[in-house]
Amino acid sequence: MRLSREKLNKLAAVSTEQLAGMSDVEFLEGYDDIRQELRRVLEDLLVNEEKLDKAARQKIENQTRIIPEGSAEWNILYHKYYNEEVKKLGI
Amino acid sequence: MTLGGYPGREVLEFGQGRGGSDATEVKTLLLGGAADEIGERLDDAYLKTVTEIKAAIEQCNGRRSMVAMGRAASPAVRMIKSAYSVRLSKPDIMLFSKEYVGYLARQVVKRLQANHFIKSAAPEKVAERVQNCMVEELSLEDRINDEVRVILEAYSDEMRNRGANYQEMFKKVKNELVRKYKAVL
Repeated sequence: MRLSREKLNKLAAVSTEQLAGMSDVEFLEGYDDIRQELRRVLEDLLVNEEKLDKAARQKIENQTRIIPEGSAEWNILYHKYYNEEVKKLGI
Repeated sequence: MTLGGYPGREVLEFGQGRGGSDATEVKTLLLGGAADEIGERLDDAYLKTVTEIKAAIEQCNGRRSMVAMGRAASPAVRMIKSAYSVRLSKPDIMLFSKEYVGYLARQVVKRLQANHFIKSAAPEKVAERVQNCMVEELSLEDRINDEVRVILEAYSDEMRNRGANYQEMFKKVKNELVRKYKAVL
């Protein structure tokens, strides 16, 4: 996963806080249980996200010539191929 | 200054360095990637500028010699710089695209509901607000980086006179801001 454990925890915490502050959301479980479940769901989804990153990198590596990572061209291609992979998810 | 994460000069050099034979590929990358990205990030009021940028880049890619290409690219780069200097109001490049974060938020709300952790009559609205808060958190590092650049810009003369290393100063100021905001990067 491309997010650190701390960042994932933080993301789950701020999202739970956001949900708790919404009048049209009813909590059926305790705050901490929801935060932990939210973290688990995010972790599960983000493990799959890694596949998008790998696929985009693979497409760049498959080019006939070597494109150094971090170069402007690499960045442009990465964003292009990453977004193509995102679209495959039906987003 | 960056162009959607790519330094403007690099975009220019990339365009110039490819030569005439690769002009179509450069055009595809610049038009399909960078310019569209600007388009997505600019407010409607700046769409005219984006059209101009596209036209100028197209003109530059139609040239054969690198010198001519560079000359033709200059107005495009000037416009890109000018467009970018309005400091796009939307968050900078994050680790994940905004579309993907939207997908994350929708999935989170859907699964929390399905597993009976939360209940809501308006899951789409809830997902949208969760998405906004996720984008805010995920773009925190970009905002800190921007603030560091602004601070260092203000001290650029002093840094030059003292021979300070930009990268080191960037790291120091960034660490200070991370502490100040209690940010998790």
